Amino acid sequence: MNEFLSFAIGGLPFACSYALVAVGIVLTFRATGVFNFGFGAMAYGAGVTYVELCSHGVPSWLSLLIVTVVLAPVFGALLDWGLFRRIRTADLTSKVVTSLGLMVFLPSMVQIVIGSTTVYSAPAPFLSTYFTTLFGISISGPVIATLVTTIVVLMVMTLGLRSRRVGLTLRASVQSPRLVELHGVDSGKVLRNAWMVSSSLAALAGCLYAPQFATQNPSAYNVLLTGAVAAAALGAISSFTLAVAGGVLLGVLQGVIPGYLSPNSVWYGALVPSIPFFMLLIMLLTHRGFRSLDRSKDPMSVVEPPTAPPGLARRSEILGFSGRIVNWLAVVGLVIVAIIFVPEVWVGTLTIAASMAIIFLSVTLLTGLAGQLSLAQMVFAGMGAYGTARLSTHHHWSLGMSLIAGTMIASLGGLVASLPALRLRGLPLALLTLCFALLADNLIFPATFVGSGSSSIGVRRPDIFGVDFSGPFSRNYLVMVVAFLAMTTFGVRLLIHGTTGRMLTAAHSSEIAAASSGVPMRRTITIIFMLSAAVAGLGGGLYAIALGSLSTPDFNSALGPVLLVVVITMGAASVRGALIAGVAFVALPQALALAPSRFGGGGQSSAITIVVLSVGAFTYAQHPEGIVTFIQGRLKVAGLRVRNLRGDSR
Amino acid sequence: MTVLLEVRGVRKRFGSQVVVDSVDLEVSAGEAVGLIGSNGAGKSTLFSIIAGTISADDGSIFLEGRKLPNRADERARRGIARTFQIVQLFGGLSVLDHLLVALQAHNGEAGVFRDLRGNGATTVPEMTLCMETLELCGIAKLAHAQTTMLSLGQRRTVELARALVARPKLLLTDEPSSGLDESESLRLAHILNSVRRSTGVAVVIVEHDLATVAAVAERVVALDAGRVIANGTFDEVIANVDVRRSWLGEASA
Repeated sequence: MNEFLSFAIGGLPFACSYALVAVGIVLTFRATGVFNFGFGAMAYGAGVTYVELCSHGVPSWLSLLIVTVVLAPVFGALLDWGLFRRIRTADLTSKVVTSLGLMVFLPSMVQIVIGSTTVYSAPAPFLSTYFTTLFGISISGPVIATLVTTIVVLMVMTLGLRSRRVGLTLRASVQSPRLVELHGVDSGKVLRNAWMVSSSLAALAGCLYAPQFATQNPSAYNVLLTGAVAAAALGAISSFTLAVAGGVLLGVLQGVIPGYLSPNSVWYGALVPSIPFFMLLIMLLTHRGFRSLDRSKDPMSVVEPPTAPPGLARRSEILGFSGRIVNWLAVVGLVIVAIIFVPEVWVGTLTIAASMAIIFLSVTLLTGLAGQLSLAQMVFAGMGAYGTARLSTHHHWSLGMSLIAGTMIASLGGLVASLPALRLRGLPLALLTLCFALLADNLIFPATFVGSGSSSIGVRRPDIFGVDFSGPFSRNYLVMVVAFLAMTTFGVRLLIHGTTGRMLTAAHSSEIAAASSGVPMRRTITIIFMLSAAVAGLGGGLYAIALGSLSTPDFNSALGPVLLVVVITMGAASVRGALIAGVAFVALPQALALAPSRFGGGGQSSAITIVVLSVGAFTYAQHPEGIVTFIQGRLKVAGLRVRNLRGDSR
Repeated sequence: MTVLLEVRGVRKRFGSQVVVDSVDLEVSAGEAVGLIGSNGAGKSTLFSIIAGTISADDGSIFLEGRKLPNRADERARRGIARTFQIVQLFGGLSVLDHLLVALQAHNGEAGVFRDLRGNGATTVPEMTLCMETLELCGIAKLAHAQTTMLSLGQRRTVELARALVARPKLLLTDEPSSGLDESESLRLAHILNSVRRSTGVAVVIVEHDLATVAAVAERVVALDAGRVIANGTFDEVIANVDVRRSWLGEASA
């Protein structure tokens, strides 16, 4: 018993952090309809700031106060003012994408500002040297302080929400901010307060979480986020009590289970980090509350329907017919010139960019066309990559065959992932794919039958019909990848402009009317999911061959949200977005690395790339067509104006 | 006349409240049936059960003697089309696109494989059928209009055209006159009648506006508290004592 208790107490600091962030998630979700994936990143920012303050000699308690009472509420109010207030009436997809943007943007931003990961290990905010023994179990001061702080904060919050003045207006604002405003309540203020409070909660969680680690890196805070999401899921993101209970349960489980397992066993490495994901997975698949989460509850949504999905841009083509031909000729010409004249050193980069573009196209297919959010696209790519690598290198299949097999493995993964998608859409689906991605990270890719643990596995280069594709700078291989890219692009375009695109646009706008018109949603979504996974798998396979060797970080699940955000930034409605995203994603860090460090060159190049490429996620709700199409539209308008001026002068 | 739709002993309860209670209903091919009753009588629920958007707790539904599949999209492809009480149009699609979606989905001719074979463009027969339907409904001029620009009456007509484009055997139309003024309602009733004459589609219409019911329905079925309380011609049903009491609010004399 004592042993159990002492293990459980070891998990308490985690439990508190989970509970705090979970309550923040529930609060903002209920108050503003935004499921904030960015809380992990906000906690990271708070944690790093706290550590920085402490390392500059500020007393730890004062640092805690500065971060949670001053900085965090200001940041929350800023988020509300600059971001979430503007997308209040947007649909769930826009809100999810915006918060994903925050999740991707913030950690990179913090790294740029503070330098690389902070190494200084921070003291606990209170009672850092205190020690006591209770019923024969030793409890350290920080644990007690964490526990007391959390309980006090949560109790104050609960009392506030129970009150009529705060709680009632908040609940009403959740149902319909616009209706509440008609009754003379400033719902904007209510929602801003919700953001300030939840931001503070996330910051507190971050400050309590930071001292648990010697170095602060974003991935630890991703674990915090998934834990909190799993905790919030216990009450279908609507109950504060269950969210706290979930956080405590999860923290205690994470303290207790490793205690009873041998650290060398297979289970320890694979299972222990996966506990939150299993909990989330079970809740998503069994809790009925998630199925109705997506339906708009706002009575005003009939009067003013939600904004349209990105696929809509396809119906208002901006370029005319001749414009499109010129456009494509330019693209084809550019590609040919690039392949023939590009300097040797850039051949490898271009090859990787082309295969990344194929992976990006899988997002265009699933999100732009079908309106489904998947955070697991990198996992499908990884399946294709590992399938290809494994079959060609270890089982000596021909490279073409193993590429095909890898693509098929990925599409089977897509099939598995799409099964829950028959019932779940939007947010719950995004959460489920996140779960799938993190499980794959912990369980599938490190497994010895897939990769080879942490070390990398080699990948052969092809040699087909006597044409040599080997060597890191093979122009022949570049041609092959570009040919695949062209094929995929063409296929995706056929779908976007064909019957499928029209059908899915219809279903996105009114699923019930589409079903009553005979649109087979289940079958279509399943097929699109499989195709999208297959495209990702193909891209992954080609990427693996281009790299020449594979290791686990190449297909880290954390890249999944980055993929989604980058494609949406560039534009998920047409293939152009994915193509430009692919090139930018690979070429930008390369170019930045060459630039002088004053302009962001050197070590920070990939962080800067992510920041630059993710900015557009914040404008997604207003411009779902993406940056590329937006700029094209503006250019066209400017062109028309110039033409008109000329006409006038004549 | 052959029986087209056969509803046998359909029951549905929400919580403890029985909304549809052992309802039997038959609709012959080409017939127009009006479904009337006070609010909460179970008309719309019965409607959704027939269309497949709500599943019944008990009972079965047959179309042309064959049991209907469960899902709404499968039923649509078998020949049941519907319109909605609150208009459900596809935002961002033109009027013509609305009809194309319904037509291609109904014929099983839309989808990934058609597009990937390079046949994603609209064919001439598809286009002809869509334009014919639009003309039948009197909105051929609106073919390329965006639906957000249309008036409520026009939107209801678009919904009707979308439902009719695939030449269904049975059309369910849910309060088509709600929100429309008298002349618009009559226009819609006129369109319904002319469509029925030229395509031979059977119509079930749920309606509060008695003028519209009288103009469209050959037979009227009255529901109260989930049960059928009267069934006959418009005049018979309106004269029925139970109907007058439950729905027209007349005190039992």
